[in-house]
Formats: sequence, C-alpha cells, structure tokens
Amino acid sequence: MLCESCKKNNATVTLTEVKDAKATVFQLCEACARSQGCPGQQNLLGDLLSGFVAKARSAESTVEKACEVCGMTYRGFRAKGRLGCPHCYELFEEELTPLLEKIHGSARHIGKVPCREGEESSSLHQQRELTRLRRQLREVIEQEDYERAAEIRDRIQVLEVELSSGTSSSGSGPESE
Amino acid sequence: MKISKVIRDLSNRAGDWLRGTGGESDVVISSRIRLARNLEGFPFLPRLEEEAAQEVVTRLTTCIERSLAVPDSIVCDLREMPSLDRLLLVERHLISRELANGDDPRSVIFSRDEALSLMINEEDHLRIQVLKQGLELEVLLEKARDIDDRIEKVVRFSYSPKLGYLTSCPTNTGTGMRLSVMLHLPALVFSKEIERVFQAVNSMNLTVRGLYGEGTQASGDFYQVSNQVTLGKSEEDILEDVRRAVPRIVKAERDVREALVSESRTMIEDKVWRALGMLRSARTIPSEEAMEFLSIVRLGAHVGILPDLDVVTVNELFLLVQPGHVQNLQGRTLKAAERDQVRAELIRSRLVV
Repeated sequence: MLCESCKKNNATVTLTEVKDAKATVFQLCEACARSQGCPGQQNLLGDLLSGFVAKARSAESTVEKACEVCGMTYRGFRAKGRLGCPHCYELFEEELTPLLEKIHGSARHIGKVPCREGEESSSLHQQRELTRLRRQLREVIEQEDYERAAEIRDRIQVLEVELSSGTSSSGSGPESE
Repeated sequence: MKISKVIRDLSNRAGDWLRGTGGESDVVISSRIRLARNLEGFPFLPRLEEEAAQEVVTRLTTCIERSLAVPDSIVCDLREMPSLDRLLLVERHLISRELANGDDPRSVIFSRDEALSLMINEEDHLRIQVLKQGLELEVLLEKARDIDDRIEKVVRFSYSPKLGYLTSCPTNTGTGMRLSVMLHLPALVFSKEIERVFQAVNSMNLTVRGLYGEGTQASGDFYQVSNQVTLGKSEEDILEDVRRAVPRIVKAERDVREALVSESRTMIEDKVWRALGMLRSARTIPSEEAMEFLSIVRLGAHVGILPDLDVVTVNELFLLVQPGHVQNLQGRTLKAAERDQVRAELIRSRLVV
C-alpha cells in the first residue's frame, strides 16, 4: 500500500488521529509520519534492539499497530475487551497469547474441528480424539477401572488403524510420540 | 400479527425445560449449552457496520432455515419488536439482555418448545443455545453439536486450527462453549454455606452466576454453575468438569435441607407455611418478594412439608411473576403498583387452597 500523504513511498506506519471522539486512520510512510509529528520513529532500530518497541507503541506513542482489516488497536481492545475481527488474533498474537494462557490455562484449541463439506478434516478429528482417549486411558487406569480401560484401549486401536490407513502418505504413522 | 400471538401464548405458561420434573429436580432445574460462532469474512460485532450487520442477519437466517436445524421455528426481528415482548423473551432465557437492548440489526430464531434458540448479532454473530430440564448433559451436547454441524454444512465460521472458533471476546474463543446448570439452592443460602460452595466451585475452574447470567442477582435462590475455560479443553472435558462438580453441590444442598428439617423442623415449617400464606393472601406483591416466598415454598414441597402442593405450578410461577410476563398477560405496560396487584392476583389464582 502506498503512503496516503506523498503517494510515493510504501506505507509502513498506521497513524490513528483522535479528534472530537472520532478516530481517523492514516497509512503513511516513515518520512510523512515524522513530518506529521509522530514521535518514537527515529529510534526504531534502537527500540527494536532493546526489545521495547511493542511496549512503547502501545503505552505512550500515538502511532499504534492497528488491524489492517478492521482498524482495531490493541488499546481499543483493552478498553472494551472485544476484538474487531478474526485477523486481530493474528496481529496481536504476541500480546494475546499470555492473556489467553492466563484466562484459559492454555492457548491451544483441542476441541471441535469444523464440519465442512468437501474438506479433509477427518484425520485432524481422529488425531484429536486419539489424544483425548489416551489421556482418558491414563485417568481410568489411575482409578483402577480396568473394564473401562479395556473399552478405551479397543477404541484407540481402531482409531490407530483407521489413521494409519487413511494418512499413510506422510510415511509416519500416528505413533510418533 | 403472528409473532405477537406467539408471545401472548408464551406469557401464560412456562417452557418444558422449567417444569422441573427431570432427574434430581429437587435441586437441578435445567442445563444449557451455548456455542459462540462468527461468520467468516465479516468483522466481529464491535466493528460491524449497520449494513453488514443486516447482511449477517439475512445470511444466517437463510442458512439456518436451509439447514433445517430448528424445527417449528419462530423468527423474530428484534428491532421491530416492542420492548415488553423483548423483556418476556429475556425472562424466558430465549434471548440475553444484551441482545434485547442492542441497536444493531439483530434477531432470534427459536423452536416452539423453547429448547433451542439461535441469537443473531449478540456479542458474536451467532449464539446457539440448547436448553433441557434436568442434568442430561450428554444428550444436550449431542444436540448442540448436531445443530452446529447442520449449520456448518451451509456456512463457514471463523476458525483457526490453533485457537479454534474465534470470538469477539477472548474469554469465549476455542470451543466457544458455555455449559451451565441451573440449581435451586435455598438451604445453602439460608444456612449461609453458599459462600463455601462458591469457593469450591471456583477452585474447580467453574463459575457461579445469578438467574439471568453474568452480573445478575441470584433471585429466588437460583444459581447457574458454568465452565470458565473454553480453550485448551475439548467439549467433552468441559462437560466432565461440570458433571463432576454438580453432584457435589446437589449433595451439599440436600444435606443442609435434611439437617434443617431434622434439627429445626418447627422453624422451617413455620417459614414455609408463612410464605405460602403470604402468596395465597397478598393483594399486592413485588417480584423480588414473590420470588423469595416461592423459593421457600418450593423448598417446603421438596422436603415433605407441603406434600399436596403441585411443584410444577410453583416452578411455572417463578417465570410468570416476572415483570415482562405480568405485563404481557395484561397486554400493556403497567406501573409498578399495578404490576404488583396483577402479580398477587395471578399467584392467588394459581395457588388455590
């Protein structure tokens, strides 16, 4: 994307101007951003090296990373607790991962996989189910419920056979642990 | 109009899920699963322009109808709906307060038996809600999954392999699933043991909320226990967490009930009969007071103090005494004093000696 001001250089800075409680977003090049009085850009490399760039950006600079799809900033998210679009999850991954870990104790989905027609998600389904069953097996063995353990073991075996016959193209079976 | 007739019909009776005749019904009222989903290619609600919000409503409504996920469905455009009718739907748990009071294009599709409700443009584009009386959690999960699968065959939801179903609020991302069980805990409240239950529940990664969910009061001693975590656990894991916790709470409530009856029988009998007396005699009664007395009466019926009382009627009254129901029964907005009078009359007519 070209800089909205000079229309020559590539836009590398998103400038959010707040005026009369209305936010306007500008995509600018480095030089134009500086000429608009944006602080914090001159020392970019130094900031990067010292690892403070993310902090400085969200904490005090008026130049803030904004989602190119919906325009949401991290500060905007913090204020309302709501993200603007699916892309926000990618853009703010660095900030969101510790937050998700704090809320959920994990930042990795192990639940349902979408049931989309004509898409090969069944092997993913099976692998998840396998992981779940193995964990369950450990639990019931701990509880000395051997009858249930035998049932679960049978289901694991069936799944393993299905998986190795269905996804054998990669060469390795599901038993890569 | 058709919708208004549906609403009038509803104001007169409770949904099946509130009959309170399922297993463990002395304590467990109902169970509910809600799944949060968002359409691919649209921003989440906070960034959704009005035109796009309308497009989401149209697209989801069409897809849901095509998927045949909701049998015998009633479709309501909430922007067109009078506030009194919206209030009635909130009281029946068919829509949330947030959906009732929003400004954006939004609607709800629910099944006539009220076991299923699909909210469009609440906090997320779609909220699938499945309700059932009692504690049949597996059946509930299977039903929720079936509806989700059917809709997914005709529409794409925002999903990432790493984070699962993406939701506007990160507290729902992953499975997007909230499983809540509604419990009636009058003895634990009365004996002031309820705080200890809250602590125990919190230590199990679950949370306790009031009658109408997040940030609401526990009116009538009703509490909802639900999962907090939606990411890093499968739907079955979540179900297991709740299933493990609920019987413990049920047992605690029953133990206290038993202790109250065996140790302070006269005191409890007095409380129960006085409450019933109030409900049968009052000429004017505010809803909070009605809820309080109904709760004591329900307790009395379950510990054998009022063996002849029809518990289903009492369960229904918890809903029918709510302000939206009382006003809908009269077909117009009433002042608080008028409501209290109509409510007292309604209770007297249902609890005849």
